[in-house]
Amino acid sequence: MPSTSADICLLLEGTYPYISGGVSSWTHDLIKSHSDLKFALISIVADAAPRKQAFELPVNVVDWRTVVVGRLPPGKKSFPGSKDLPALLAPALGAYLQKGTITDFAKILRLLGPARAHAGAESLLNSPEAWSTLTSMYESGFSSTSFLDYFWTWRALLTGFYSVVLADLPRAKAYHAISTGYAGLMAARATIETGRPSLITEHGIYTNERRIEIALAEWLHDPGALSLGDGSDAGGLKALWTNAFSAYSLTAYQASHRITTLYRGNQDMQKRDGAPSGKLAIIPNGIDVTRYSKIQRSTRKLRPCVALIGRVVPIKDIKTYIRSIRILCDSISDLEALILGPDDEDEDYARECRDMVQQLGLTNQITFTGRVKLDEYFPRIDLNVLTSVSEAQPLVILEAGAAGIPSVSTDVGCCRELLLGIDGETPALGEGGIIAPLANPTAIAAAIREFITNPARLDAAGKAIMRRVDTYYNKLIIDQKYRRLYDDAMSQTNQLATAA
Amino acid sequence: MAGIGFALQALSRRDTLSAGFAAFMISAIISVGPWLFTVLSVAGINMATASQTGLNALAEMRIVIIYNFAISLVLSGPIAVITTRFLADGLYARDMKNAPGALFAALTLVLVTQAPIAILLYCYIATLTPAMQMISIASYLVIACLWVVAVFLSALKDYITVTVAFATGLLLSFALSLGFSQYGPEGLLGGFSIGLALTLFVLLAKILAEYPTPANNFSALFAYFKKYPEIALSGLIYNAGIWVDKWFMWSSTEAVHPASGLVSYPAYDGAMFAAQLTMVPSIALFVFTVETKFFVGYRNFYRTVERHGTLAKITSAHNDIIRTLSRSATSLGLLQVTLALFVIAISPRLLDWLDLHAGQLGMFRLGVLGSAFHAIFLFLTIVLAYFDLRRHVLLLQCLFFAVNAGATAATLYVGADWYGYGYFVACVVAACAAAMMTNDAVARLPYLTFISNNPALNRRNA
Repeated sequence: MPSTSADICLLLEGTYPYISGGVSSWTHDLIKSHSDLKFALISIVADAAPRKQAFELPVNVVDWRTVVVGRLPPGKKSFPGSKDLPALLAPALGAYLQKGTITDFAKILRLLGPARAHAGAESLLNSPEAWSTLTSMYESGFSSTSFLDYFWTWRALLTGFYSVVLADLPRAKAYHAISTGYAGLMAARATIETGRPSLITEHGIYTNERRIEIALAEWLHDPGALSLGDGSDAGGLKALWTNAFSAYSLTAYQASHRITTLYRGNQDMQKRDGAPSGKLAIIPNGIDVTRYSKIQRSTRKLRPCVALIGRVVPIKDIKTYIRSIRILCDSISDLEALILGPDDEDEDYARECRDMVQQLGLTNQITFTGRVKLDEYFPRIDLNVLTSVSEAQPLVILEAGAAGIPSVSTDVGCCRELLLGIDGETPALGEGGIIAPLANPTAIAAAIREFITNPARLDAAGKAIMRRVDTYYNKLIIDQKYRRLYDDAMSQTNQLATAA
Repeated sequence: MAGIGFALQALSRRDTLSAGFAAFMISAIISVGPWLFTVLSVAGINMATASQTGLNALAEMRIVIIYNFAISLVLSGPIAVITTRFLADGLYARDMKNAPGALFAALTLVLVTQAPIAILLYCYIATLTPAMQMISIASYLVIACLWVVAVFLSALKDYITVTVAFATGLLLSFALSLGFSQYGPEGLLGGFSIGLALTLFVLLAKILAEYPTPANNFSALFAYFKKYPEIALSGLIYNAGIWVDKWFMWSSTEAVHPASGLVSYPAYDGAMFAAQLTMVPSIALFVFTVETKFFVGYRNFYRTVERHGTLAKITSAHNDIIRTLSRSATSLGLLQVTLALFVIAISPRLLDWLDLHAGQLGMFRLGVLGSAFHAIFLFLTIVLAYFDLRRHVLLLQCLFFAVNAGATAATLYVGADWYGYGYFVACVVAACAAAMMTNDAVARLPYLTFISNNPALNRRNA
C-alpha cells in the first residue's frame, strides 16, 4: 500500500483487522465514522503465521503494515559500531526493562541512533557481543535461575522490544494506540521520534491482563526433581516479564497526549500504573440510539417478561438467573423469562443450564431462543437482567436502555455507572435499574420483583435509562468526542522536547 | 480484548538444543571404519602378493580392488553419511521403526547410482575380459553396499561384532581368493568378492533381525539429502580427500599402465597404505577415549543445560569438556608422535617385513609423518561433528581435499624426490586448521549451543 501521509495512525495489538471481536468491531466503526480522515494502521501480531483478514479495510485507510513481535528481522551482521552496540545498549535496556520510564526509553532510541538502519536479530540477539551482554545481565541478578529459561525469556523480551523499536513507522499527524503494551510502546516511540502527539485508548487494562496471564503461566520452569538450578525462581523471570510490561505502559502513558478508557474503574487502574491524572479522560462506547429508540414498546401484554441477553457461557452466570426465576415463580406465576443468545460456544454449560430448567420445573417459564434479532424481542421485554461475573461496559444495558428497558445487573465493570449515573451526575437522571450482588439469586429475584410488581418504578427507570443513554452513550456524541480528541492532537505543534 | 502480550512458543521448544545427541559415535566409526578396512585390505593384499608381483593375474586383481574401494567409497560416501545422520537422529529420538525402510532405501540408492559407474568403468574405460568385467562390477557393488551396511551395524553399537565380522570376512576373502587362484585374475577376484558378499549377507541378516519392523517409509531417508546437504557433500569430499593424492600420483611418469588400462602407482599406494597402518593404535585409543571420558563430559554439558542448570553449572561442565579434550589430545598426540618417530627410525628394517623396496622409503616416512597429523585431523573433525558443527567439518574436509590435491600436483611437477610431500603437507595444514577451529569452537561452546548452532532458533525467523 502506498504511504500517503495519514492524519491518524492507529496502533493495533492483536486485533483489527485480523481478529473478529469487540475491539476489532469498535476499530472498524471508528475508522468508518471518521470517513474524512486518512488512517494509517499498524497491526501488531505475535508471529509470522499466515492469517486472514476478518474485516475489509474502509477506503480511508491509506497505509497498513503488520509488525510481528515474535520475529525480529535479521538486519546486517556487521556494520560500523555493530560490535559495540549490545554493550552500549545493555545498561539502558536493563534499567528500562526493570523500572522503565520514558527517559530510559528515549535514551535507548538515542543510543540506537544511526545503527537503526542496519540493526536486527543478527547484531542485537545473535552476535557473540549480544551473548556476552546476555550472560552479564544474567549474572547481575538471575545467577541462581535456570539459565535455559533465562535465555528464552531474555530473547523473547528483546525480540518483542526491538521489533517495535526498529519497525518502520508511517508518517501521521497523530498516533493512536488502542492498548498499551507493544502498541503503546510504539506510540511512545512515534511521539519521541516525530514530535507528533500520541493518544491511548484502553478497553481493558493491558498491564492488568498481563499480570494475571503471567501469574498463571505454566511455561516457566518450576524447579522440581530434574532441576539443577539452585532453588531457582521462576518468580524472578515472571517479575522480569511483569516489570517489562509495566515499563511499556508507563512509557506510553508518559509520552501520550491524552489517555482514555471506558469507565472510572479502569481509569483508577491506569492511575495506579502511573498515568498522569491530567491526561485522563473517560470515553465510553456508544450505541446507535436512533435505531433502538424507534422500537415501539407494546403497552398491552398478557405476561410480564424479563430477558437475559448474552451468550450461554459460565462468565454470564446463567445458572444464577435460572435460580432467581425459580424464586420468582412462587409469587409471579405467569412470569416469562427469556435467554436470548447463542448457546453453541460452551455446549456442556448450555446442556447443564437446560437440565437445570427441567429439574426446577421451569419449562413453561424459561425459553432459550438461541441467536436472535434483538429488535424483534425488545417490544415485549419489560426488564433486562444481567447476572455476569465479569464485564467491562456491556452494550446490552445500553441497547435495552435506548429502547426504554431498564436493567437489573450485578455490580461488575461499569454497570453501576450505566444504571445509576456517575458520581455527581448533573443533572441527575435517576435510576435506570437496580444493582444486585454477584451470584445471589435471592437478591436478584428481589430486584426483579421490585420492578415487575411496581409498574411506576419500572416506567420511571425506563425513561431514566433512555435519557442517560441518549445523553452519554449516543454513538454520535461519542464520535464527536473522538473527533475533538483527534482535532486537538492533530493541531498540536511538534514537541520534540519530549525526547530530552 | 486487544493485546497479544507475549507469545513464547520458543519456551516450549527448549528441549531441542542438542540436535543429534547420543549417536555421533556412529560418525566416529563410520569416518574411520571403512577407510581402516580399505587400508587393511589393500595393505594385506600387497603383503600377501608381494612375493609374486611378477604375476599379472595378481596385479590385475589388486588394481580392481583398489579401484573398487577408492571409487565406491568416494561416490557412495554421501549415501553412507546421510544414512548415518538418519540413524543417529532415530537413535536420539528412540524411534528406529524407519530403520529397515532406510536400509532398503540406502541399498537401492547405492545400486542405482553405483551400477552405471561400475559398468562405465569396467566395460568402457578399462579393457578386461567379459568374465572379469562381470566379476569386477559385482565386486564393486558388494563393496559399495558394505559401506552402507557398516553404518547400520555401527548404529547397533555392537562394535565387537562389527570388527569380528569384517575381520572374518576379510580373512575369508583372502582364503577364497587363494583357493581360486588357479583360475587367473577371475578366480582371485571372484574368490575375494564371494568372501565379501558372504560377509554382506550375514551382516544384512543380523541387521534385519535387530530391527524387526516392516520396511516402509522409504522416502524418510531421501528427505535427509534435502535437509542436510552439507553432510552429503562432506561425505563426498572427505573420502575424495583421502584418495586424491593417489589419483594424482597415478598420473606420474612412474605409474604402471597395465593392459587393462587401470592405471596405478603401486610403489606410492603401497608405501602410503603401509604408513597409514600406524594410525591403528591411536584410532583404538581415540574410540576408547571418546566412548568413555569425552562422551561423559559431552553428555553432562547438554544435560546441565536441559535440566535447567545455572550458568555457573553450565560453565563448569564446559570446563570439564575442555579439560578432557586437551588431555585426550595430549595423550593421542604423544602416542602418535612417539609411534611415528619409532617407525621412521626403524623403517629400513621394516621394508622387508612390509615388502617395500628401498625406493619407497622416502614416501613411506612421509606417509608415517603425515598419518600422525592425519589422525589428529580425523579426531578433531569427529569432535566437531559431535557438536553438530557441520559447516566447520565440511570446510575442513574441503581444505584437506584442496591441499592434498594441490600439493600432490606440485610434487609431480618438481620431481620424484618430493613424492609423498603432498599428502604430508595436506595432513599438517588440515590438522593445524582443525586444531584452531576446534579450539575456537570448544571455547565458545555455550554460545554455539544456544545461538549459532541452536536448531530451535529458526534463524530466518529469529
